Amino acid sequence: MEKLIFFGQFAVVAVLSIVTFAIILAKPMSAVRRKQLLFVASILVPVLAIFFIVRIYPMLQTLIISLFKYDPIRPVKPFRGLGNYVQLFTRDEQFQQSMRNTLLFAGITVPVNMLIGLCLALVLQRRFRGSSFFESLFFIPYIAPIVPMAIVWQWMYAADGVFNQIILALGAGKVAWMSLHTALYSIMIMFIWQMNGYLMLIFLVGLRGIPDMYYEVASIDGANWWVQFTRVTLPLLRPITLYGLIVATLWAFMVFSQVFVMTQGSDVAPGAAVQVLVLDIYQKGFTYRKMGLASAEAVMLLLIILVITLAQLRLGKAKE
Amino acid sequence: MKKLVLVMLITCSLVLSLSAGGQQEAGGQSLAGEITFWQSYPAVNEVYSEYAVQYMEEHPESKITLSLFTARAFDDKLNTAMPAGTAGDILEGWDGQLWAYISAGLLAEPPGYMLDYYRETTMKFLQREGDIYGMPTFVGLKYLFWNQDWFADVGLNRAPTTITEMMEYAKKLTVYDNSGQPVKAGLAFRVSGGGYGVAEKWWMKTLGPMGKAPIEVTGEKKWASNFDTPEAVASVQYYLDGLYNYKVDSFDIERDIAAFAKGKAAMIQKESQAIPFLSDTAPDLKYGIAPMPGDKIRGTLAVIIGNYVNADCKNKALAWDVIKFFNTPERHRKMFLETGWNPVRGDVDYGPVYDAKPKFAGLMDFPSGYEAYFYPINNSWSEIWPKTGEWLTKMYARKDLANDRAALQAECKKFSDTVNQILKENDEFAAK
Repeated sequence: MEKLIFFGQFAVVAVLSIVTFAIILAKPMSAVRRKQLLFVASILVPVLAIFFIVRIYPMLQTLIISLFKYDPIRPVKPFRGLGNYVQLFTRDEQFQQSMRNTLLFAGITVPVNMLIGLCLALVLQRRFRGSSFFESLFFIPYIAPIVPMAIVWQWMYAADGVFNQIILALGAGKVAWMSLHTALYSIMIMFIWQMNGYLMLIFLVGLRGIPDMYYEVASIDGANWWVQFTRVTLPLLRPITLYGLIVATLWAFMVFSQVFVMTQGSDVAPGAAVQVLVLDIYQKGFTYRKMGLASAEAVMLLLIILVITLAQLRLGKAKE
Repeated sequence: MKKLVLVMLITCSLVLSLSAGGQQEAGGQSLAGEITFWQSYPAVNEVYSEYAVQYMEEHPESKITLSLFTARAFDDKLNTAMPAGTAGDILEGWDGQLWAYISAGLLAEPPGYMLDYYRETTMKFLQREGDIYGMPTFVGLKYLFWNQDWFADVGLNRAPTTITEMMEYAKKLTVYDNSGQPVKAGLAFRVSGGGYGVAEKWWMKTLGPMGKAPIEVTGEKKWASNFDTPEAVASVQYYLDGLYNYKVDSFDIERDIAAFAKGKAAMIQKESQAIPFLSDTAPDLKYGIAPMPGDKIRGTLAVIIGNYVNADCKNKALAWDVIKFFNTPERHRKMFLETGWNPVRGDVDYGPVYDAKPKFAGLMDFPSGYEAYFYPINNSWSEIWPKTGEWLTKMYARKDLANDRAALQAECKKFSDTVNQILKENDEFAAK
């Protein structure tokens, strides 16, 4: 069954290619036109074949594997139909916990990230001495490699780390930043620190793209800063805001490295007790070799992201 | 024409036999070629790197490449590399960890001469009957490390021998601040962290002494969960008592061997490989090493680490020869001396090691009736055990469970069902 589906996909692509050429050859047309079409087809078919292999095939394969009980080291991979999906929603507590954590993660980080990004952009919008330095300063975490950054934050969150030293100096008690109950929120802080530089940058581009005359006209009409912000800036920033919202949502749903590095492999980290969807997919697939279940979860993640992104796009267009 | 063919055949066979004669052989097979050796124990890797150089000096026609992975990455790497046929030729691990590959036929059966070597060299109490795949190289046995000065300060002069006594000692040893919160642990509990650590410490610290294993054999290659037993409930309660009722440790105190080295924990359970670490990081620390405290039984979890050969290995004779070479009596002693991991060879005199490091003396002397218990060997274990660690981490964080036995029992029952479900999915479950 699995082999049939595997080879079937390539057979369909091959047949479609042959049919395309056959139609061009069989259909009555001028020799010049046929030559042109054959040229176009011979250019497009390899490109489309590569596109299929690197883009479509992995997604199809994930979908197909999600229908099997798929252990890569077992020769027999029984067909389960929708069994993996049913299992996820009925008796996979790890998945359900991961889903709750990921929704919480997205629910907090997306608006906070957007807000901080926008605030920073508003502050840096007017060029002043040192503004370029601050732009770079806020943007650097975004381009810095995630793993060493996460390790540094892990140190900062340690019992004797810099955060607790500051808190102690202020006279308060130590905070267990990476305990089971606080680790997810601590990772959110690190995540926001790391990502909002990018949002700041795109908001900055958007803000600097708004012509000054709008603000001048608004000033003449007696609009104060807040009115200018809500009636001029925000409406004109809508395309940028929509893009930022989609990007920030994707980041939040696909968060992995920060959680992986900061929660695993250390005696003081909470381990797999702090789960998000992509980490759960990774563990199911690569730690427990439950590739079918992991693929089903990956398909669910894709659907969730797709629905949210489409909803955001539709909402953005409706407002336009 | 026939003569010409005959002459060519004879010439070819002569050339082949001469070239083969230039290379050393093991079990009648050539030792020329390359092998890769995957490891996940850093200290052992350091020693083995020297041995690899020595081997290649003695066998210039051979090449050994060692690769070291973190324990966590090692399992994940194997899970992708084994089915892809790209894993190392020799793999360092233990039966339970690698059983899925053994049962799938992905690891090579040792040849007869290696099985003889196993029977002749491995300590008798570590030998297993039945399917032997890995050649033992060292063993992780747990010990109680106790801070002698700290004990003396509170009027104690020996290590506890039962887990009840261990808790009583811990209460006396814990140092509290003005608000009654522990700032130095009387007994270090492992309450968080990834991988097998949390679960392993729980088993050997409480459940094991109480006479239970996490799962028990209920038939031919069948098991059932023990997580719903009174012993399992009591063992989790022991941790909750330590954390919330007696407060002999807390989540805020640094933990594991680093805490012991810094004088932040009076007692800790650890393998003997902690000794070199303590020599380096806390040379002035006065500490004792005692057998694990008991309850219904007294003993230790024994994790026998061995070297396994990949079924895809193209130079199996070379691989087995390397394994033997790395474990000659002299090299086995050196591995013990430098890494601190307990040796497995019963035919080696460790006197020189004990002379060089007196702390190692007595590591293999156990009280009478002391038992070694082992990880179960089945396909489910590699999923059950990390999930046990995750579950325990959540339980330890539940202060509300510390004085609510019924709720704790319900949680244990729920997790027991999860464990049985994993066993069922692997066709390894049979009811008790």
